[in-house]
Amino acid sequence: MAKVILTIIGYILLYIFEFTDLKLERNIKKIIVFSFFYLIAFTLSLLISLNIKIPSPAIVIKNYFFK
Amino acid sequence: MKETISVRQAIFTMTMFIIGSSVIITSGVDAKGDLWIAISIALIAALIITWFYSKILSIKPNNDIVDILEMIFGKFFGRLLSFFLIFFSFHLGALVLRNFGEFIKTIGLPETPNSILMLICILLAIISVKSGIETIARGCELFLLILLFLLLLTIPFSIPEMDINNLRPMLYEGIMPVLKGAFATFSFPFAETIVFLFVLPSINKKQYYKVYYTSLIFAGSILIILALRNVLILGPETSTRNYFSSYTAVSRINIANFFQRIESIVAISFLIYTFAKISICLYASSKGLSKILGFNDYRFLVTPIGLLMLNFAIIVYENIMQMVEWATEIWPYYSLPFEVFLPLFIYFYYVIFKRRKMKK
Repeated sequence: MAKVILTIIGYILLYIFEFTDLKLERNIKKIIVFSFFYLIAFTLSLLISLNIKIPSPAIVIKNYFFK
Repeated sequence: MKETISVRQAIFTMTMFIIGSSVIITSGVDAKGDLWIAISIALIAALIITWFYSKILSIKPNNDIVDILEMIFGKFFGRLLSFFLIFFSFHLGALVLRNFGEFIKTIGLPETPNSILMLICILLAIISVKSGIETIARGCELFLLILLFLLLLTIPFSIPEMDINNLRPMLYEGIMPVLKGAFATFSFPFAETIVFLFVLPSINKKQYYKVYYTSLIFAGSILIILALRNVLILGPETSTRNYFSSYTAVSRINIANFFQRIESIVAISFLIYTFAKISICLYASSKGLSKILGFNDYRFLVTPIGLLMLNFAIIVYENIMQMVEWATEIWPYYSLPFEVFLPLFIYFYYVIFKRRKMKK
């Protein structure tokens, strides 16, 4: 559980830290693109910290193309 | 603001990049004792393919590769092709990050979770990329000579452990394993320099060939020397079966029971090489992606891309066996379309269909 909480807190802190820079530029497109990729990264990290097994692309490539 | 680096800095950066993770994981293990021949063959092949890379960059010097591809293929297909290159550098960065994590975990910190080691490395890489390619290049310029000195220092000290009979008989199993090893070495450190299509447009002179050729020959000869050292110390079987053969070879050094255990210094130098490689891959992918999405500044994308790279590195393999299997057996074939076919396609398409129109 500590892992999950630490992940969430870390991501929120880093987001605030990055957002202060982006806010000054007032570029809404940049903020949207940034938040989009950040959200994907956050979701993946959350799943990893919850011990959910995510299928690895490397293994998929190996099984489909090199068998 | 456009960042510029000098030709010398670019050469040093590329040398760091090529030595990068190939000092940690030995590629071309099929060649066994003849690894140095395999590396030489791979070097010649890499010199040929990098000629095309520099030709692509010289189509429109000092312009980004994304711009060049858009000029040749139009907006949609140009961006699609650059997306492949960006994905390649992203994937490469993640794999190198994983190598970094596994290396530290295996040699020094077996109880620490892999993700923490990689998190620290990627945070450092994010900071260095955010401060720009100039900073990375200056760092490489500073570190390369010190690290090379450390790496080459191990050779005279390991002479007592060496046995020239480890190199004999040459070509015992015929030429085929050597060629297979050459293919693996070609795709693992040498042709990965395609990532530099994103970096080299920022050098201050148009000497792309010089950068590619000097650093390839420089780094290639270092890799040949290191491969010879490993085989001479460990023998063909042990040096190819070991996960981290360079590290193992250095750990054998023992002079008069006094000068020993210097592998920790060497391990630190390996980590700095790998860190440089990760930073360059992160730089290339965030710069390319921001260009595709229509931004001039790449810095705001570095953090999310870096974190994605970290997540990808965590989920990509389950253990070190999978990592080594992928790196030695599948990576050569997987990377071939990105490293060889794609640049050849771009160049010949340009020469056949577009050159006359664009010259006008």
